[in-house]
Amino acid sequence: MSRKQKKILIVDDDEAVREVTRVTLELLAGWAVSAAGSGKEGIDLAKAEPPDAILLDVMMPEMDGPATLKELCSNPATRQIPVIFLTAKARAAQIQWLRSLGTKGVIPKPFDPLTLASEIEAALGWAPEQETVAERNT
Amino acid sequence: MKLRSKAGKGMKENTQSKRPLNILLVENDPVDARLCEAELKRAGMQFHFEVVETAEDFRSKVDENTYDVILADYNLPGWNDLEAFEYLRSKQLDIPFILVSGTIGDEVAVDCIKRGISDYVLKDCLPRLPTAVRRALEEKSLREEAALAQKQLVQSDRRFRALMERSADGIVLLNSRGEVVFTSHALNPMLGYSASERLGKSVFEMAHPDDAGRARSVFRDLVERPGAAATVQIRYLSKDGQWRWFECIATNLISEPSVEGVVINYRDISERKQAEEEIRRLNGDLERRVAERTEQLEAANQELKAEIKERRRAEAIVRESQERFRLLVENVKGYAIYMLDPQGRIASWNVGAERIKGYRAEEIIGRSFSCLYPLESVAAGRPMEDLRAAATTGHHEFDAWRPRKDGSLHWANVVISALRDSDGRLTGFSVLTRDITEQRRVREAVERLRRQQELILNSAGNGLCGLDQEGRCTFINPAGARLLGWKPEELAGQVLHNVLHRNSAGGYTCSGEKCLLLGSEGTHRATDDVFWREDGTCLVVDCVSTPILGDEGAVVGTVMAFQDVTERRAVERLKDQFVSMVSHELRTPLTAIRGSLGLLATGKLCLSKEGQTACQRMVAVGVANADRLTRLVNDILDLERLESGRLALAKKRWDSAQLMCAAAGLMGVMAEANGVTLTAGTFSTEVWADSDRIMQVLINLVGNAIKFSPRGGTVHLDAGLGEGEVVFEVKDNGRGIPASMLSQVFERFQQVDASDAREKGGTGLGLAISRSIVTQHGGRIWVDSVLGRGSTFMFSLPLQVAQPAGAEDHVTEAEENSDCGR
Repeated sequence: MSRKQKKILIVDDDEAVREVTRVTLELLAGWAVSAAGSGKEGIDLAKAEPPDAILLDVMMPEMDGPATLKELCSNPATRQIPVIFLTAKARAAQIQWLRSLGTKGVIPKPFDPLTLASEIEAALGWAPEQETVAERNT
Repeated sequence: MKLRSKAGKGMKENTQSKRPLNILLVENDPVDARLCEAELKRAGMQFHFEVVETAEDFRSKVDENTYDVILADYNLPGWNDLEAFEYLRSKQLDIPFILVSGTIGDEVAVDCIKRGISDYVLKDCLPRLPTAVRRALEEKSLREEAALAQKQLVQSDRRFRALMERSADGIVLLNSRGEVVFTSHALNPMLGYSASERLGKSVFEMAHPDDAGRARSVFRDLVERPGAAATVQIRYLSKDGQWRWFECIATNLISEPSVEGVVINYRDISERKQAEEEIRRLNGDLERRVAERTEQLEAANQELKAEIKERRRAEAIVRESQERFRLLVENVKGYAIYMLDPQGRIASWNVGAERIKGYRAEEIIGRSFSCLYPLESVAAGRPMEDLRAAATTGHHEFDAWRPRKDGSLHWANVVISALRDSDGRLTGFSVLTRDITEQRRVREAVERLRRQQELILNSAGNGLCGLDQEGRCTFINPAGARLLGWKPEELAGQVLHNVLHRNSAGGYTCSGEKCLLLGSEGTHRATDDVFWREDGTCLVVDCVSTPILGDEGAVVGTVMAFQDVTERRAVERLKDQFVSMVSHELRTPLTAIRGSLGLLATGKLCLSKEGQTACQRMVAVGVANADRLTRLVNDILDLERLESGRLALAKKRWDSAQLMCAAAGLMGVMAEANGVTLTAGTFSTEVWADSDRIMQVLINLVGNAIKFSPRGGTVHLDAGLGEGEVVFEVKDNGRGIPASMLSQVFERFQQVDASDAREKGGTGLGLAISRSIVTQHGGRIWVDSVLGRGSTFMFSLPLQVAQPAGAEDHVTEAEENSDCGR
């Protein structure tokens, strides 16, 4: 069965986090991953090549996660793209506040690479992948 | 021949008076004359008979005499009887003229009759002459009567008209329908209408609507009763628009042929009416005033009677009261009540006075009341002074010490009242004295307690205020008032909710519901309440409200303690921000470590060639972030120890050049790796410092300068003397810092570019640690920078002025590691 490959955009100012996340989703979930180091770069990428979902860091310099989300929602080209916050803000009140901003979900850092993809799928209401690329490669 | 005959003025008159008739006969024939006379006599007529022949004689006779009848022959020599008749006419003499002729024809006779001749008698019918004479006289008599009647009628009419025209009253003649047939001139000026304007119109047209109906009714009734009269008063509209009053006397003369109408006599009574109205008004006014005055007099009389009665009753009551009062006063035990004569001698003494003062009545009455004063007061003239004060003001009250008979003192409240008779003459004084020693003691105790409480309240650091049930401030301690920015007296009586919960924009930051400032039944706490000051600033407070219970156990108010937690909340906010920041800074490398290790742990990365590359990369990521985490933890712990004061500085005398040289030596490798030239100055002076920590500062500043300098750039480390301090500086020609960031760069996690922490390997705490170290050395740290041209970080250390004992004992790691040391 051929299913359309999911495209995920990672927006995070920390290069190491971007890299770990990318490897996790590419190798373990088999998704196509693009990455941006700032909110502005993420918006440009989302406009140029709209992904199926955006994994967005919250604390970033200049344009933080909530500001980036607001910008994405105000743009007709990106308004429909679901966004999930990936955040180091761990307190319940902070997470509740982030959920109220109109995201599909909030995944706290640090995350477990083995469950990250399923957490994203659950948040977005996607059906779990029958077979990951990585599994197919084995 | 001339015949003369005297005759009267007429037959009737002649018959009545029996006067003979004067008859003139114009005849030229004497025979005929005699025949005529004879015929008249035969008829029994009495007369004087004269005969003339000529015209001259005729005119002469007629001019001179008065004749009752003239008889004339028609044909006379030289003239005829018509000429004679015309002469009479010319003289306007109405004398019966009878033609006596033998030759006259019928036509002539008719002509003569037409001309006015009374009759004619043919000579051959002379016996008819007396009849003709009598008839002519009769006709004349009738003519005269008619003329007289006509004359009288004319005179009467003239009189009537003159009367009507000259009458002051207006006269109007109406037909039976009430229409004006005639109106006299007198009415014109009254109403201003001309007669022609009124003729033919209904007399009721101009009547006042209120009067017209009544007038029509009277008129209809009057018209039914011929000869009847009626009087009405009615208003008519004059041409100038004014209503004028008229008295109308109407008389029904419809059946009177000469009138055939209703005659109304109008008299203008407007002025009379006005006068009557004025009189009525004056009468009314007078009557009213009389009634009022009468009523007043009656009321005054009643009041007077009541007053007299009341006075009598009051006098009786007073007498009774005075007696009761006397008995009461004499028996009152709680008060000393006594009377003085004008000179101050005691005149009466009650039981209370005996109890309080210790004197019996018989031993004190007659003595001067100054014996009731302390000796020093007597010496100072107080007794007489007090009496004078009472005599002047009527009432003199004061508190003072008073001796008892046994010499002991009591604190007394004294009221001296001057007594005067009805003429105002001073007759004496009454003195009322209360022993208030106990009250004074209690009051003093209460005052002491109050002062003590006030002292406690004043010394309390937190705000304390009392509120009544309406939330009004009953007291507030100085600390509370100071916190709120008011003076205690300004808040007293104010509803504090209205004052403190009202923000600078005029709105309320508290709805008042469950507001502790509006009172509470039990003890309640409120946190983070906001109180607004008058200057528009606010403070955050924690409050505790406790009810104040009255004697009956009911809540009569509340005591509220409040504490300014503004600063604490600000610190807490900063702490939250810091914790959040630290959490983020710790979790970020942890995420990388956890992620990379998690991926490695799956074992799936090594299954392909590209997976193996990723595997190696993940190991590197894990290691790098573990190092980053280590540095971060170290820096956080350092900073925490520095700022909590738990890090003891091992200060020692050091040479500035030595420190700079050591730092440059340590950072040389890094500078070389980054392609940056690092130089250090040689300024030498003694500083009193913990060399490890100062080296940490220098390494941090030099490290930053190298990191942010472009390849090929230079970093220079130097020092110099300031005012009582040594100033170190690290200068680079790197990218510089935006002016907006200059004040923040020494704060925690405040990199110019947040990605610097990742890219440049910093923790974001280096400058914050440096500032803390310098501050703990008593110095300061700052930066000058121009964006794009470089920055100069500087810090100062106080110059060494004295050498503390034992200071030389410290040996530092920096000393040992320095290439430039020993």
